[in-house]
Amino acid sequence: MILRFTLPYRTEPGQRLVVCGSLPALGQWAPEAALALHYDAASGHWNRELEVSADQLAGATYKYLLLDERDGGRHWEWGPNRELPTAVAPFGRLVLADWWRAPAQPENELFTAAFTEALFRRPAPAAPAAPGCGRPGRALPAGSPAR
Amino acid sequence: MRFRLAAPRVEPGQQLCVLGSDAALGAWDAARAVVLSDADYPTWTADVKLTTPAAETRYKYGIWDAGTGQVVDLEAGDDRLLAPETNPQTLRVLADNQYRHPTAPWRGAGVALPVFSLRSRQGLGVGEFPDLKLLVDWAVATGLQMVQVLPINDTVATHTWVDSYPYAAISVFALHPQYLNLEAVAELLDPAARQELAQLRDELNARDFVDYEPMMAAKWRFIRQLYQQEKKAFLADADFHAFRAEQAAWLVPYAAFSGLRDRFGTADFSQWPAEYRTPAQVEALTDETSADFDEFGLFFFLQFHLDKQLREAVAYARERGVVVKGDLPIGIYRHSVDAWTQPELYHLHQQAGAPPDDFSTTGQNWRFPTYNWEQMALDGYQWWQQRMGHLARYFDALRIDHILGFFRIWEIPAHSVEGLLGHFSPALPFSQQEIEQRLGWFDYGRLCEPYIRWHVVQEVFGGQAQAVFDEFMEEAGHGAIRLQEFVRTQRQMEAVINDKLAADPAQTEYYRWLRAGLFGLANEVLFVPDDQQPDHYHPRITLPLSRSFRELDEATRPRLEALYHDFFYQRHEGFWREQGLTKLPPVRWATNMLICGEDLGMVPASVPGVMRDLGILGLHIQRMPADPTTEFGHPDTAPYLSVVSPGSHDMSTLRGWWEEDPARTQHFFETTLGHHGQPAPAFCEPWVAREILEQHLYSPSMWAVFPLQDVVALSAGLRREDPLAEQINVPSNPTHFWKYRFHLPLEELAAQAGFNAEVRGLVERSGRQQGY
Repeated sequence: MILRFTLPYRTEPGQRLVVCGSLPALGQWAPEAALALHYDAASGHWNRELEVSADQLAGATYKYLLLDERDGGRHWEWGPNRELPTAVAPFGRLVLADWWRAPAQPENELFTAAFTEALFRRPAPAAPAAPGCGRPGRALPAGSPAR
Repeated sequence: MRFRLAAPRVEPGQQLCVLGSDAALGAWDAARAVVLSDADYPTWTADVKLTTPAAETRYKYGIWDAGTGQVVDLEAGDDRLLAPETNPQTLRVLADNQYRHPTAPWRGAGVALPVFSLRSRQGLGVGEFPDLKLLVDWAVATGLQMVQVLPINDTVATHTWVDSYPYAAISVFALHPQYLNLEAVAELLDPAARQELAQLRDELNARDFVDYEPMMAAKWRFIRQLYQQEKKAFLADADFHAFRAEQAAWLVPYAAFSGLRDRFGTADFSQWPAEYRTPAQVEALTDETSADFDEFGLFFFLQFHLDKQLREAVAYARERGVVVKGDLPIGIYRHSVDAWTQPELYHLHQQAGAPPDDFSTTGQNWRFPTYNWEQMALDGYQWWQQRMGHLARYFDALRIDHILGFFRIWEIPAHSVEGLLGHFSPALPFSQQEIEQRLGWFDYGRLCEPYIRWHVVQEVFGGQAQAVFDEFMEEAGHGAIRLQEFVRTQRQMEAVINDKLAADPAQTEYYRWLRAGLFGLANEVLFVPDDQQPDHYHPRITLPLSRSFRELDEATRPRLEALYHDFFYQRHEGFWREQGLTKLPPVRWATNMLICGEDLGMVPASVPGVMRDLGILGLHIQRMPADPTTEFGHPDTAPYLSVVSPGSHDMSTLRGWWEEDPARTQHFFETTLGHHGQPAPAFCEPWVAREILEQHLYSPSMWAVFPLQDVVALSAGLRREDPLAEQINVPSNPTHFWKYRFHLPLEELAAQAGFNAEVRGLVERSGRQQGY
């Protein structure tokens, strides 16, 4: 299975993006061992492709991390850990077209329980959710990875 | 292709859809848009097989109404682009950037009222958890979407009205017994008891305030009776056993603590027999087979039903789209289960409070121990995780009381009664050398001992000066006077005066006057020694207002003022910012609640930035502007991540405030309400209240929250006659009786269709009732 990470991000000189996550190729949540992305100036995207075995995908999680060489800063993107999609057969190549989730954005607060559990609460689904969607969305928006 | 978009702001009854250039995306025909699934809400998903993936695809998200089957909004701006994809083996999974809403950021409005202040016909002299449903119904009728309460934890420490203070909980987990509705537990089988309960209900509800002691006496009596009546079935109830197992970590020690408190007649566990001063016996005491089990079983019964009733009320609110917002007290009570079971987490010899501000000129001394943050950090702030996690069981939003305490807390030495001799902790006190360099001299006696001279004694005590001097003071040489050894500290003074009060109650007024004068003398210092580092000193807060400062020489005064300003407004900025960035994230990210910080008072410059970075809403109270150069805040200037409010439980109501100071009111009327050159009405007339409420509703803040008293101020017919009876707390009085109860039964308020429609109209016109 070929896995491709891609996201648009206009970095400043000295900054670079890496992807860090539970898979060994993503550093098993150790930022030092995260997978470096490559910048494509033409598209303004940071990308990286790698090969993983399909059975590793289930339950795997990741997040993007912005490294700033100017001050040694490590800035995790905002939000819950991203989950790798499951049930991707029969495809041999998986492209994860993501967007950087900027921290400290006022809109981020619309993901808190006030909104998801009360104000915009969805009525309980009449039919059971589709397979593979069993986990409720009560994830923790964390500044660092929830492990 | 898998489309995914995280978008919480979608009304029930509506769905997200995607529409685009590819035939599989409807070829821009809105009737053929692809509706996304909410199974992973707040993320919306749809799997689509594009007809021509090898071509560039343009698309947009929209909002689709399930009722009409139509797209009611297509997002603004440029089309989103999908690059051509020729490899049929490729699955593209999008995690798209946010939905571009056509309207301004989401804004809502809410109502604030403590649970104990709710009035209903079913309550027993006090607001109870099921009464929250009535307030929720009223909120729905008026377009309000938040119900904000005060802390609801158990504060039963003394079995007197003093326990009415809601911020000193004996457990940060257990709920207060006063909120239990007895009928919802079970019907009393004894007809005589039923009749007596009905009679007590009439008596207690006839009072225009919460009469705490008789109300609690009635509750305890019938709770005990219900416990005996239901005990057998309760102890066999699988739901109870699940609750007990799930909540055991706090519930078992709490039950033991409460039983022991009642057995020994005090919550001060240091006075209990030695074997109970630690929680070692907790398991044995709460064993169902033990002979004394009922002493403790009662509290399992109580907490099981309180939890059930509160969760039912919260579920009711959630189903109606109303957020229940809780309140997190900054401190813990020193005679609490928490201090009993984990004393290592607190500095029990310290007293937390707040520096002087508009609430109190001598500061506030809450007498809470301060937190041992270093100890808490050792296990990754488990205590905070548990505490916040438990609050999230009930609340979707939370107010953090005195959030400034996470940056630095006002620590008052144990010998002090008032707050002026405290200092911030952590802090960077000046060394003696530093003070000497900046003032040009250092004299411990002049700087750190109370400045008392004969003319001072005369000014403070007038005709009594000689008598007071003879009893409490002595010459210290060179014209200086000092307090005698037995009244050197405020705690000593307090004890001496208490003895006199007890011996001669007829002279109460005189002794209080004497105490105030002596306390004031003790405060007359310019520096407070640090309790950790020898030869290090904190400038005494508000020292430029002291007599000691005024009587310094002309050369020293400006130097000391500069040093003071540096200390309180500059020296700690980076240091306190680091403190906030260390302590707040574990609290903020422990749960998914929306967090609002009560950030009133003396605000360090770094606080707004840290709160913004952590997504914590600030609080903007019109009459307590954060900007000290303005007299009144204007809700128009509040940032989006904030709550605006005309007042809080710590202040007079809008109407009360209006009558306090006519000159100030006139100024407010002209400058802030825009009635230039017009005389302000003597009372806050309904039309004035309306203008103030509208000003708040039109603020750009995410939330506008109003005390219920201020909302009914809109109606001449509904509002209470005496506005002073509506003030919930008076912070300058540390032993205030918290007894406020709303004057109308909520059933009656719900029936006021005309008034409710008026409120709803105000809310709707301000745009605080919009979905997408």
